[in-house]
Formats: sequence, structure tokens, C-alpha cells
Amino acid sequence: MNQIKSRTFQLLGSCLALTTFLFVSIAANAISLPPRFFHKTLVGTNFVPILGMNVDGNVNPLDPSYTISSDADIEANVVMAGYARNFSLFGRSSQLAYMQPMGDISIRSTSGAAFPIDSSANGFGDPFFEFNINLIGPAPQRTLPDALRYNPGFSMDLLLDLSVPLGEYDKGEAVNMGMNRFWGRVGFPMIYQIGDVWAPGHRTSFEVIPAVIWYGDNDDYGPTGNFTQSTDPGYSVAAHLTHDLSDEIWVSLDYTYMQLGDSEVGPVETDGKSFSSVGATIGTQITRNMVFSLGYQTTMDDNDPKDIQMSTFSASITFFWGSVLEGLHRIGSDGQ
Amino acid sequence: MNYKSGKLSWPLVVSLLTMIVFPLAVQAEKQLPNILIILADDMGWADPGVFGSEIETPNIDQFAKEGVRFTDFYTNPMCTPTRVTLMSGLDHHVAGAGSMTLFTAPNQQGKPGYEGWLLPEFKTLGDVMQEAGYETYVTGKWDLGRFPELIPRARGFDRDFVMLDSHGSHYNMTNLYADNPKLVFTEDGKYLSRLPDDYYSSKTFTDKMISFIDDGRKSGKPFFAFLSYQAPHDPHHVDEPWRSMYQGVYDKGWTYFHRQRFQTQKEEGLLPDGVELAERYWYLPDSEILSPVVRATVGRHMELYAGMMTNMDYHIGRLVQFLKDIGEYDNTIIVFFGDNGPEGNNTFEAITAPGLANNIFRARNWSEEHHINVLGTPNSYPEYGAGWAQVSTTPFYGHKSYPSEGGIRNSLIVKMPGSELADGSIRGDFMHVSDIMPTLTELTGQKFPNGKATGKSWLGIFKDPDSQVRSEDDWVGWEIMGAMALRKGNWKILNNWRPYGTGEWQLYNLENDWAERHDLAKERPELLKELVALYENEFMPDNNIILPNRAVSESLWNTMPVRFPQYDNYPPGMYRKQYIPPADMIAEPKE
Repeated sequence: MNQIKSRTFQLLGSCLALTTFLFVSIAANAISLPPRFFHKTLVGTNFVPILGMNVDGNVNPLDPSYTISSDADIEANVVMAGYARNFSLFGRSSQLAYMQPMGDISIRSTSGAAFPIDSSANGFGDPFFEFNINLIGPAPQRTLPDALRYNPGFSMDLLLDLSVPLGEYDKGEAVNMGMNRFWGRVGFPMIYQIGDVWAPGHRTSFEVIPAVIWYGDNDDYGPTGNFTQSTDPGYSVAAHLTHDLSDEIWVSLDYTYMQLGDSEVGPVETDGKSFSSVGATIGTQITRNMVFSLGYQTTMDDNDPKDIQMSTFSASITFFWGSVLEGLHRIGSDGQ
Repeated sequence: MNYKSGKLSWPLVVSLLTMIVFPLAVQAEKQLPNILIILADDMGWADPGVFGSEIETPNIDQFAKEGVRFTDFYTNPMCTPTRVTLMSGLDHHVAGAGSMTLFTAPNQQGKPGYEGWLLPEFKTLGDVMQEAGYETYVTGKWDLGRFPELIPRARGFDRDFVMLDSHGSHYNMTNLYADNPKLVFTEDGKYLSRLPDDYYSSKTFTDKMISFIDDGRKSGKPFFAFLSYQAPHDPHHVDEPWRSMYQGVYDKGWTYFHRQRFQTQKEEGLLPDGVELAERYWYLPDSEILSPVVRATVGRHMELYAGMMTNMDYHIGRLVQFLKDIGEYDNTIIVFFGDNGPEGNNTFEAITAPGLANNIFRARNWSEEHHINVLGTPNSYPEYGAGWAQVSTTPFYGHKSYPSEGGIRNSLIVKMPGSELADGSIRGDFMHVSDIMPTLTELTGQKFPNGKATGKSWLGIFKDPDSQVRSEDDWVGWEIMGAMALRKGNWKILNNWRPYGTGEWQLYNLENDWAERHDLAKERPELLKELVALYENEFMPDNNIILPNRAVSESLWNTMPVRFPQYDNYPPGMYRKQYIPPADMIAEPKE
């Protein structure tokens, strides 16, 4: 009996860790919707995700409209940290998260030799709020047995994101940490479980996340800060094929397609561009309540200077805890 | 007789000669019903729905509605001994399986009767039914020997698809032993190099049986079919949707279901007045006190067991439908029972314990057994343990490998065309698996082929409901690994290993003490003495009993907790609730 108990709680810990893994990647870049992000876990679990990423390309990764700076080399070193919690709302599994970007970003461009750009910004970006509620799928995991028995089957959620323009923004600067405008997203993340066994070492899923992105206006845009930047809504589709390599390591092949909305800066109108990016993610559990992942994603078919180019290398750590889990650990009942 | 007169033609002579030479064959073709024996593996008395279980077994239940439930049917305490007796009609110590091969004691090794398989000199049910003109088929677990002279083709079966071993995967050929890593199967007398695609034990065994019966229809002979399921023996492997169909049901715990089944059995009229529920094993907690997550985890094991039972029932239903489709169902005798009590010993854990070569074999082949969602899949090895085994044996005490009632009494259902017994009736005849051979030899007009028969034919009760299979003076004895028992009439003596027993002879009156709770040895010493003498002076010498000088159970008294009496409702367990005082006596504190 003791053996069963010990094994049970050990499993529970790893199960929770692995199913809640990538809450951390809430914004691997501003648009990306990462793998295993929408897997559900125990109601009342808390998360502190910390994501570090290095982005190299010709767009500001913190700007979801991805305005191209022609012949520019933009490099960003950004950390996103925040807090998230799972809960039950209207009898459905839900999550609420807050993420705060911070770091530095620099741009260097020689396209206009007379006016080379060499600018940088650092500080805090726009805070980002995310709400997610399950529409189709398993009931909320209110108890430890619910968490152990979780099988996503086919699940579909409603995703609502909002970025609030409170980050640092200086008029006239070529790059900023803040965007000086609201933007948001409505999506329908879907998970299709492949195979009838959902447990560490066995999980395989295909995930598709269609989403529509909308933007507010930035009335202080451009070299002088006197232009208004407007962007029509765009849409994106993210897809992930995820698979457990072992009980504690999983990988994902990631694909994102995005169609940007038409934009207008002062009198200049620009047709929305589209781009695709591919990448991979690998994740594992480091301690009883800490998980870690590495990811890389890069745009495809981007040789033309007018194409969006962006490569992102990311590393993330997520701490998680729940009152029951911590209590079991304190009294030595979690088998650790 | 003038042959030239034409009064007696040659065709008539040939016919008469044929009837003289092959009387049984003619009888079989023209009169005898088909016979279908369905054997479940490690199923408890209380597991079919009609024996008080919550497990859904509608097709097995239908047999009971069209036939008779027998509450006092006995097997032997373990699988090979029961199968040896079933096939030969002999006590297993005589027929070659005095002990399980794994547990043969030093003083039994090399002794006749302790070979571990059904000795080839004895005729089997296959032999006698073949001689009676039947087409003979067997599918499923054989467990009676692996050498060419021991396999079904050599033992009277026309067609076979069998697993020769005792246990192993339900999905593939993976065994439990480092030195014996692959299960061995035969099909129609040939050893198989691989299993058919999409193999799952209950499914494939049923598919094969259906195909055998279908193929054999052109012969015009009746069939004798032995469908020997490996289910619900561990590992508790089962496909979806059965794997998930009981999810959460058993979170209530074994204590709840122990009592629930007992209540249902009383309501169903399965228990005589005064029967008590066996005490919960002293080393198991009242499941009510377990945390929800532990109850979910241990309950998962029973979910899978129940899923296997329902899955087996589903496949039985497929066979029944086939028999109806070909018009043979109404003319088929169906006998359904389990081979011994449920497995409550966690034998897999013992066989693959750390330090053994089997442990490495387990790590390589059976390692993914731990997660609740993985249990039941091909590489897992779920076994449900003593808590659920007790539920499976409700209301009895004991489980597989012990001659307590829970280890040897099993649920028997017989559907007998033309029976005088009322459909759906329940009977308490004292019966034993050794009776099946004499029943079938009587049915087919043959003599018992293996010397002196100790079993009793059942045909009499189906013709005369007032008769009994055994009289008050008839008795049956058991011995397995040194544990001993004998029942005569309603009296039973039991000498079980400590701490399951006392290591001494105990005496029980099975008229209403089915749970063996009231040892009457001190109250009835003369009766005890008489029955022990019967055991020692008749049963043992007549049946080649060699008590082992070593046994796997001999150290249990030292390794298990000290046994203490465990009474219903104490500790209060599930009846423990928050006390709520009378409303008019509740007050706020005085500050």
C-alpha cells in the first residue's frame, strides 16, 4: 500500500509538471502560440513562467504587426516573466495569465546611407493578459484523481489576449519596448490526442490554433512621432505535432502561418504580408516543480529583403505549485 | 440366415455393422447436443453480474436466465490443478499436477503425479468426446503441458488455437521469465512462430472458436468446444472502450463494494439465511480511509479487471450470436465457470522481485506499468491485489492458492437443453470440477476412462430436480502447497498456512458459515477428528498427496503483519461522519 501511495504521488507530480509545461511560453514572441500550452492541469495550480529569448531579424518581435524595417538588422534580448493560475469558470477549465516583457532591443540599418539607423531601447514592454476557457473537452481537474486521469481527447478552447500599452515608448525612436497601442487576439486552440494513452512517455498530440489578431492605433508613430499607425486585423494558424520521447522529455515540431492585416502609417498604405515559420521545441522536468524548455523558430522563404525575417531562440523555466501538492511534499507524501 | 434370399441386403448389413462398431458416433450425430465449456481464468465467485456483481456481464447473465446458477461448485485452488482435473476427471495429484510447476517442493520433485502437466496416459475430455463422435475444439489457455505429446492435437482435439503457458501478455508473446521469455502457442498441432495480426486473447480465442465451429459444420457432427479464456487473469490488459468504461466507478473502494456485493447477493437469493460477510483481511485498510488519489489509483486496477470481464462477456456474446445464426444455440449445453479464486497474491511482484533475473526482464518488457492511464495497455502489468480479490470472492474468505472457500468455490452456470430445472433457478448442490468428465461420459454413453471416478455426474439433477449431485456422505478433498481442506456434506475442515489460517485444522459448518468465520473445532472435536482421519487415511493415500517440505506460504507468518479479528463496521470507516449536534444545543462561545 505504501508503495502504491508513493508511486501515485510521484506520478502525480510529473504528470502535473508535464501537462502544464509551457504556460511559460505564453509569448515566445508576441504572436507565437506554443506547443502544449493549452493542456489542462489541476484547478488552483499557480505558475511563474520566465522566458528568455534572443530574436534576430528585420522586424520588432514585440510588435505584432511586424512592420518591416527594410535592410534592418534587429536584435532583441527579451525576458518575459509573469504569473498564471488555473481555475474553474462556469464549470469549465480556465486560465488567467499576466506576462511582463522586459529587456533590450536594437536596430541597425544602412538602407539609407545618408541616414543610417542605429538605435536601441530597453526597459519594460507592454504587459500582456491572457484568458483561456475550455469549450469542448474534459471537465476541470478539481481533484488529484482528475489530474491523473486527464486525457485531452479532442479539446477546443476560447482564447482571449490583450496587450495594454503601458510599456516604455519614446516618440521618434526607431524601436521601442512598448507598442503604444492596444492589440489583442481571439483564438480557438484545439488539441487532438493521438493514441488512446495519455501519460508521461506516451503523449502525442496534434494541436492547431487559429486566431484573429486586432490592433488599436498608435498616434505617436514614425520618425517624428506625428503619424498614426493603423493596422487591419490579421489572422494566424499555429500547428504543433508534439510527442513524448520518454517519461520526462517531449519534443514538438512547430509551424506558424500568419497573414498580417493591411496597415496605414500617415498617408502610406501597405498591403498586409504573410509569412510562415517553422521550428522545434524540446521540454523536460528539472525538479519536482520546475520545468524547462528550449525552442527555435525561423521564418521560411524569406530571401527577399521585403520578406519578414525572424529567428527566435528561446529558453524557458516555469515554476509551479499548488496547495495540495506542496502540502503533500511538506509531509513527505509525494514520494520525492 | 440366407443371404441369398435378399431378405438382408448388404447396405443394411453395413449399416448394422457401422452401428455396432461406431455406436457413439451415430448417437452423437443424431441425438447429442453440442457442448460448450467456457472457462474464465482467475475469476471470483462474485464477479459475474448474476452473482451479485456490479460488473456488466449481460451475456453470461443470460446463460443464468436460461439455465441454472450453482452456488456450491468447487474447483481446485490454482489453475493447472483445476484444468488437469477438468480434462481428466481425476484429482490433480494423480493426474500430474500435484503442485504448480513453479512451486514444486524438493520432496515432490521427480515424483509421479508432480510433473506439472497432465500425464499423457490419461484420456482427456477431448479424447472421450472425439470417441463419442464429436468434433472437438479448444481455444485459449491450455496450461496442461508444452511437449508435443501434451498439446491439444495429441490430447483429442481436432482443432486448437491455444496458449500453452499459465500467464503472460494478452496482446503478444511476452512472458514473465528471463529464462522463458516467450509464450508458446499452438494452432492445429503446430507451434506458432508468431501471433496473428491484431491479436488480443479474448478476441482471438473467440474468433478462432467461431471459425472452428463454422468449418466443422459440414461434418454434420455435434461439437465439443472448450473456450478457455485467459481473461480476467492478470496482467489486466484490455482495449478501449472497456479500458475506460469503469473509470471512477471503483473510487468508492473495496470496502464499499465488498459490502455492496454482499447486499446484492442477499437480495438475489444467492446466500442462505445467516451467511455473514468474510472479515476484511487484517493487513488491508478500510478503503474509506484512503486518500482520493490512492483510491483512484488502486481503483484503476479494479476498473481494468471489470473491463476485462465485460470485454470477455462481449466476446462470449459474439459466439452466442454466431450459434444462434447457425441454428445451434438451442441445442448447445453451455457450462460457464472460473478455474479458481481470484489472484490476490500479487504474484507478478514476487516473480519479478528486485535481485532476480526476472526483475531485469520486467524492466525491459514490463516497465511501463505505473501511470493510471498506462495501466491496461500492452506493456503494463496491472494486478489488482488482495483488496479487490476479496471483493471478487464476496462473501468468502481467501483467494487463489488457498483452499479457503474464496480460493476454491466458483460461480457455475449451466444451460442445459431439455432440463427439468426451472430457467433462472439457483441451486446449492455440492459440485466439483471433477464432475464434468463423468457428466459428459454419461451423456455420451461412455465409461469413465481414467480408472476410478471421484466426480459425480450432474445429469441426474437436470432430469430430476429433487435429486442431489452428492449425498451428505460424499466428500471432496483439496491440497495445494501444503494447505489442506475437505468438505463432507456441509462440514468442512481446513488447515491453512498462517496467518491466513492457523496452521491447525479448523472446522466450519458451511450450511451458513460460508465466510469461515466460526471455527467449531473445539466445540465438535469428534467430528473434527473423524474428518481429519478421512483426509489422512483416505483422501491422501488415494490421491497421491505428498505434503511439501517447503512451500512459498510457509514464511508468511513471519513476513506479514500479525493477524487480528476484523469485524464489520469496526473501525467505523465508511460510517464515520462529522457529528452534528442537535440544533437547539448549538451556541456561540461566551466572550
